[in-house]
Amino acid sequence: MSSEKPLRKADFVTSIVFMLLGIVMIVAASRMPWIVQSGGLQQDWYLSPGLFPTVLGVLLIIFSSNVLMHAVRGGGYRGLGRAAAHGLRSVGSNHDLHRMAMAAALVGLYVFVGIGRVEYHIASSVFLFVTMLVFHRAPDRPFTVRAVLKLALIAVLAPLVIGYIFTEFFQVPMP
Amino acid sequence: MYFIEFLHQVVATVTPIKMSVLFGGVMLGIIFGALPGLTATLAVALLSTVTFNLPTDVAIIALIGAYVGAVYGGCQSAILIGIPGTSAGAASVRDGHQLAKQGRAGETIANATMGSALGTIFGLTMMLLVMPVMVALALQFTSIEFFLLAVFGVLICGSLTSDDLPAKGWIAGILGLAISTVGIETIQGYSRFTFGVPELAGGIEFVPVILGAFAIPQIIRGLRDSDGRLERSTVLSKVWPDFKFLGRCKMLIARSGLIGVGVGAIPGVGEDVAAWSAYDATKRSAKDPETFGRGNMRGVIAPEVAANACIGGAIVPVLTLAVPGSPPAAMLLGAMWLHGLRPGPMLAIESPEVIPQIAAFLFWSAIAMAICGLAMARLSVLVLRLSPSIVLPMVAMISILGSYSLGLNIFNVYLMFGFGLLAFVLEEMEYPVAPLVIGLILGQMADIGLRRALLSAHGDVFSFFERPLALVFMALILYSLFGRSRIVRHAFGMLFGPLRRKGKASEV
Repeated sequence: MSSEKPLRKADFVTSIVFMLLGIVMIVAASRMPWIVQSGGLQQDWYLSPGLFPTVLGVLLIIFSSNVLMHAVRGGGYRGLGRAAAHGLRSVGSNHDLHRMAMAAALVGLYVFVGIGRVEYHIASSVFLFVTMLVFHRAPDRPFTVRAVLKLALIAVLAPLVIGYIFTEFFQVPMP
Repeated sequence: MYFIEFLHQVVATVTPIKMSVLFGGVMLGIIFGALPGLTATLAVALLSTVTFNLPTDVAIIALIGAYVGAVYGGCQSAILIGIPGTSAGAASVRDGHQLAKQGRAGETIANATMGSALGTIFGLTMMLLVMPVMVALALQFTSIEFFLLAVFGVLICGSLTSDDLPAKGWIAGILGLAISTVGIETIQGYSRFTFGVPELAGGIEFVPVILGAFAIPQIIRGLRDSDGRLERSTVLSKVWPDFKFLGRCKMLIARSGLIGVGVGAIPGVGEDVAAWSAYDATKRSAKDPETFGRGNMRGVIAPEVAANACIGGAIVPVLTLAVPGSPPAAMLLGAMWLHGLRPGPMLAIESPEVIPQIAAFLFWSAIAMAICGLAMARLSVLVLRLSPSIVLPMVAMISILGSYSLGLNIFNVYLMFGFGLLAFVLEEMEYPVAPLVIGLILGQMADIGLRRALLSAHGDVFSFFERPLALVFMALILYSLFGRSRIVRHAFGMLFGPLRRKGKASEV
C-alpha cells in the first residue's frame, strides 16, 4: 500500500493532464470541417476529418475519469503540495534521478547537437566515450588508465565498424 | 491448403543469401534477447530500418529470424544469471536458474532451446491450419468490422498489458490512435494536428516511434542501474538436450503450444503472457507442483514452448487482418508495409505465396535457432559479461542511425527521441507502451473504417447492429471494458455457476 500511494498521486496529476488533452482534441476537432461541399455534393458529418479525433477525445476523457476516480479513492489528492515540495528538496540527493537525467541528456545532446551537425564519426565517438566513461563506475569495474583506454578504443572503433556495415551492406549513407 | 506450397517454399528458401541472412538475423536476435533490457521488438525494429533497401523476401527472412531468435534468447540469461533477457524469458527464471545452480545449466539451456524450436514449429503448423479459416472470415469483414476490430485490439491489449489499472492501458491505446491522426487524412485530404510543420504532413512514421518507445526507456533505465555489480553467469556443462525427457513431455509441449498460439492471436498481447500462462497451466496440472520454482525442467520447457508458439499465433492476425498479435509482430507488420506488401484479407489473393513463404521462414528460423542456440550458449556467457555501460550507448547509437536510415530524414531521429522520452515517462507512471504502439498501427484502419461504415449506412449507427460479426466485436469490446468489474463477474457466476456445480457433481 505504501508504494501505491505515490502512484495514485501521480495518477491524480496524469489523469487530469489526459482529460485536458481530451478536451483539447475535441476543441481542435470541432474546428475541422464538418459539413463540406465537394464536387457539387454535400458531404455529411460522418465524413468529417474531425469525427475520429472527437471520438478519441471523448474516450480519453472517460478513461482518464476512471483513473482519476481510483486516484481520489486511493487518497492521491491528499498532500500533493507536500509531496511535490519533498520531491523538489530531494532532487539534489536522488542518485537514480541524476543518472536518468544524465543518460537522457547525453542521448539528447547526441540527437540534437551531434547527429547531422557534426561529422558522424566524431559525434558518435565523443558520445560513446563520454557516456561509457560517465556510467563506467561500479563496484566491480575500477577506474584505471587501462579501463579508460579500453573505452576510448571501443568508442573510436564502434562507429567505424557500424558505419561501414550501414554504408556497405545496407546502402545507408551516414548523416 | 497451404501445406504443399509451404513445402515448396521450404525448399525454395535454401539459397546461400537467404540462409546467411537468416542465420545472421537469428544470431542477432539471440544476442538481443539474451542481453537484459534489449527486447525482441527492438531487434525487429532495428533490423527493419537497416534492411529497408534489401529485396522484400530477404528483409522479411532477416526480421523473422531476429524475431524468433530474440524471443528464445531471453531464456539464456534467465537460466545463466537469473535475469530474463526479455519479458518472455521471465517465466523461465524461476526453475531455469535453480537448475543452473544445481550444475545443470548446459542441459537446461539445451532443453529450453529444443522447446523453443518445437514451439516455433508448433506455432507455424497451427498458423497454416488456421489461416484458410481466418482468410475466409476476414473476407467477410466490412468497414465497421475493421473499425470495431481495431478498437477491440487496442482495448484488449490495454487490459492485458496494464499491471495497474486497465484504464491506463486503454489511455495508452487512445494516445496511440490519436498520434496516428497526425498528418493529411486520406478521405478529405485535410491536414490534422500538423501545426504547420511540413514533416508532419505525411503522418508520423511508426518505425521511429516504435524504436524510440522500446529503445530509449531501456537505455535510460539500463544506464541508471548500470552501477550495480554484474551478475556472474553460471559455468556451462555439456550443452545437449535430453531427448528422452522431451519425448515424455509431448503432452506438455502440445498444451503449451496451444496456449502460445491462442495468446498470440489476441491483438497486442505478447510472448510474456503466453509464457506465464503456460507455466501456470503446467504447474497446476503437475503431480508435483511443490517442485516448481525449485528447479523443475517442465517449468522451463512450458514457457519456452508457449513463447515461441506465440509467434505463429501473432502472425495469423498480421497476415489476415493487418492487426498485430504482439509488439514484435506490430513491427513486422510495419516492415511489410515499408516493403510494399499489403497484409490483410486480400493478401492471400494478391500475393498467395506470402503466407506459405512466411511459414517456411519460420520453419528455417526454428532450425537456425536450435543450431545457433546450442552453439552460442558458451558465447552467451561471454556476452553476458559485457557491462550495460558499454552495450547501451551502442544500442542508442544504432537506434539513432536506424531511425535516420528510414528516408534519410533527421526529423525521424527527433521523433524517435521525443517518443522515447514520452514512453519512458508513461512507463514510470505504469502506463504500458504496447497499446500505444498497437494504437498507432491500427489508427488509420479505425479512422477510415469508422467513416466508411457510416457513409455506407448513411449515418445510421443502428444498422451496425444488424451485422452478426459486428455484434460479436461489440460483445468483445464490452467484455474488454467491463470483464474485470464485479457486476459482470457476478453475472457470469450466476449464469455459469449452476453448470459448473453440475459438472463437479457428475465428476464425483
